Amino acid sequence: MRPFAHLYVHVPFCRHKCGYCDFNAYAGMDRLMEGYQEALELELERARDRLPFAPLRTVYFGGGTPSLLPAELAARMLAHVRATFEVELNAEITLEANPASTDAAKLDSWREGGVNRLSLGVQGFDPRALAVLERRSDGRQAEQAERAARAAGFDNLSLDLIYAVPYQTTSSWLETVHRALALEPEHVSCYCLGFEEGTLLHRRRERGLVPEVDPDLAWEQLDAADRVLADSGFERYEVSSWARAGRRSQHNSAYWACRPVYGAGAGAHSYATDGDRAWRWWNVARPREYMAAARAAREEADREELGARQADAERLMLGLRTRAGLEPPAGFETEIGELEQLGLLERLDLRVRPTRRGLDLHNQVALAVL
Amino acid sequence: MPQELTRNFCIIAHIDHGKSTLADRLLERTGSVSKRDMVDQVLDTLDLERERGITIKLQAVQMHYTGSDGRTYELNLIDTPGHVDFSYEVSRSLAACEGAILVVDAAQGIEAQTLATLYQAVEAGLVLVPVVNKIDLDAAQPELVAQEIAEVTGLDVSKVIFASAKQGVGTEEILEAVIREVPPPSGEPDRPLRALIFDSHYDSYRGVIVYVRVVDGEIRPRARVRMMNTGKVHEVDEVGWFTPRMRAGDRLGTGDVGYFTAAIKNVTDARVGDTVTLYDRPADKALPGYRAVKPMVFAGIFPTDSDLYPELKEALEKFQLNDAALVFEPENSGALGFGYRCGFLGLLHMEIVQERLEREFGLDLITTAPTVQYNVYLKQGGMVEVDNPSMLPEATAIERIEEPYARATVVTPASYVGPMMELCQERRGSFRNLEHQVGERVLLEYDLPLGEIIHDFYDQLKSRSRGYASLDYEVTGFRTGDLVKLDVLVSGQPVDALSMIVDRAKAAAQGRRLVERLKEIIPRQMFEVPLQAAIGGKVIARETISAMKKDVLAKCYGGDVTRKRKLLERQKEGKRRMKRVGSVEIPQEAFMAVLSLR
Repeated sequence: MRPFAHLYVHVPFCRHKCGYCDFNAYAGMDRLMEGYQEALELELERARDRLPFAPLRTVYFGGGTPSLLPAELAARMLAHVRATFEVELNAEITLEANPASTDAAKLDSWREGGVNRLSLGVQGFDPRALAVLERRSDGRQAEQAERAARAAGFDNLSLDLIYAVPYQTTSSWLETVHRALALEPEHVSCYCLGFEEGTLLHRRRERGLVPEVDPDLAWEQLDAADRVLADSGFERYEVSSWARAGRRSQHNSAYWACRPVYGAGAGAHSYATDGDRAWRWWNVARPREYMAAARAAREEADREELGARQADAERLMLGLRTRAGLEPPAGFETEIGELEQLGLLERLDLRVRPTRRGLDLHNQVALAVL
Repeated sequence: MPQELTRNFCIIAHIDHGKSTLADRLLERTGSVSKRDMVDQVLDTLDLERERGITIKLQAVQMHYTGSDGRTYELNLIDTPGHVDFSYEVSRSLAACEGAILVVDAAQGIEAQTLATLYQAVEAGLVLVPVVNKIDLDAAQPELVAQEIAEVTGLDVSKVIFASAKQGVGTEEILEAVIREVPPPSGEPDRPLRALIFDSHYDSYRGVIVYVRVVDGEIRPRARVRMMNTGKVHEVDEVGWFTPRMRAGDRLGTGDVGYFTAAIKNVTDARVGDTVTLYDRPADKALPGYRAVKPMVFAGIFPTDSDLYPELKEALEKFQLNDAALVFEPENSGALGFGYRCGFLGLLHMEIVQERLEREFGLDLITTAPTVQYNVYLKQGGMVEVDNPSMLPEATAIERIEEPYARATVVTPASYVGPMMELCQERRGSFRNLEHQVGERVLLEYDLPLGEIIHDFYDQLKSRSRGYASLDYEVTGFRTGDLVKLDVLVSGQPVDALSMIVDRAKAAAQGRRLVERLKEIIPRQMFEVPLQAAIGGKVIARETISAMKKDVLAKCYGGDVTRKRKLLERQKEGKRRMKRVGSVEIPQEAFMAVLSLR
């Protein structure tokens, strides 16, 4: 099995479950935090003993809301990872933070624990958009968090924004992008709002309480953001990701390149390869059940082995999310040829990569290769 | 059973007026079916029938009933389909009876279809037993409906029986009226066999089960019989009755209703209306009324997945074993590939065939919009029958086109006469007659092109009369029309499966509506798709489906890959159900869009 050089740690706690969120996140379970950390430690140590690990090149603390952990608990979590695994000297260590739960004390403890990249879940600045998203933070908090992070010494910040929010106009969205740029982030993710099945927002739309967003308007907002970001020196290197030179997310790039990633914590997914075989497995999703399972060394909920063709198709589908593309696996010549004809893909030496249209229509690329 | 104690009858009723429920009550009361075995509505055996509450397939049941006169009678109830598509079959089962129970809903009154069947029954010399059903309903007006029945049938109003089949009220009276009023079968036991085939169905073990009414003579096992119209000869294996299960006997005598089997491989060898006689001692004349079944409505049926063409062929062949009215021949469409051009008795028949092919054979099908058969007279002389718009010869080669016409009867509450007449006029109808009936109801008669009737006419009739009007029609012949072919071009390519033959005066408007509808139905593609409607190469309407600009799953990280892949796989499954024409993916509904144009 190819050694893991990338680690994801899931922190499932949230202050509030936002209406659009379909992640494995829970509000009102804060009292489980300590027990959860114990379970994480059991899982991580077992993984280290059982599976091959290379020195970690990236670690990503995602959620949920990792910034919700009290400073001491966060310090314990970070210290434990560093004590358990060898971590490369210049490894990218990212932590997701909600501006509303970010303060100087926490920032110091993260910094001390080795975090060198923050991903701030800003989502927007327009109060109306934030209200539709049920984000209980405002633009001012985002600005404060950014200042505090800079003061604490963070020099690699990413901001998450959401477009195609019902009622939001393109000009309001552009103002959001400009306010985000004023914070001088190194990285920006712009996500198109999805109405995922099972979310409150989805149900509200089904009941006609929230309007559909015209897909052409969504594209207009994406296009407008891309122009502004490009003018400010950002490159769109993935469907939803923009970075300044040298500031791409190393951890996310590992997913898109189908490199092995170990995922720890409730509902976390792992991906492993061995020659042309590949597996995914994932943990029990609910925090309490995960904790009990981890104590019994049975946190894995299920797994699947990917056939060679399926693994190749996934590699192609994920690699084509990035502007750099990939050297395509053999056996997809027809599909790639058709997508090339449609102007969604282009060839560059041995590589194939999405065009701008191919990035905007990535689903169509994925549908063709799957 | 002596002939004089036999009664052969059927039930005439409009859909939902309670025919099946009444049949159930009769079976129960005569002990033919025990209460325990009683599935509601025993006579309707196909799932589809039960689901929709309509009768498609004919059945016959033998019952025994001891009347108040102390004698035990043999009652043969012959079920009739309750839909205008099957009017020929109805006429044949009427011909197998001496009497008919006329069932009319106490709240609805007589509907157009009932009236049409009723007239057929009177013409066939049947004695009527009139019943007003559903008298338990709040909205019931039994006296008014009884009066209406009396006026229409010329019977005395005192003969009308009030019943509620649902509650079992009136069952006894109906049975008594049947043995009292309906005459026993006449017919000569000593004459050469003449038996009327009024239905058949295919059984994979025994071959075709032929439903017959013996008019003269008798049938016994091992007799060699000849079908007088098709000329086929068979040796009888078994004769018997439906009780309602099949029960073998030693003979079917004069006046009897039952079945025989004779290792017949295909229902087309035992056609409804044909006369069975003995090979060695044939009758000199067949029974009157035989008609070769002629399909009226045609449509292409194609497998969504072209590789499944052989499966479709096999399914159609199997289906035809049991459905002599279905005809089909291979069709090769530029747009849809290989499939079959199928002929049906009518729209319902078409829907039934399609649904059962999908349900029973697990096929995903694309059915093109139904069309009628046109007689196209050519300038160079000669006539071709065209049942597929894409096969219409060049306009310059055509001298004239004739289209089938039907005499349509609409029964409507007086308050909807206006909208009904308007509808008939819109559909190029020519007015024939208007009659006021009892209870503020009006009977309208129009001559309408059949092609207009099969396009959404019935739905419009129902929606413009809030469901109150009813329709019956009978195809009467052909008339010359001013017709043109309307073509549809998708991305500049003509799509043969979307062509239609329309009235010239309405062609432009219909072309516009059609491309508008198609624009709504065809999903956006990765490129711009122009849609055009054209007549004789001249574009008369155009719409453009703009290219899809954005289609992304916003996030795709470790945890999401499996889930997102499944999401995409589901989406791909949906795409598979569409038909790729050139490079454009067209969903099934697009091919039916022409149906809901007006």
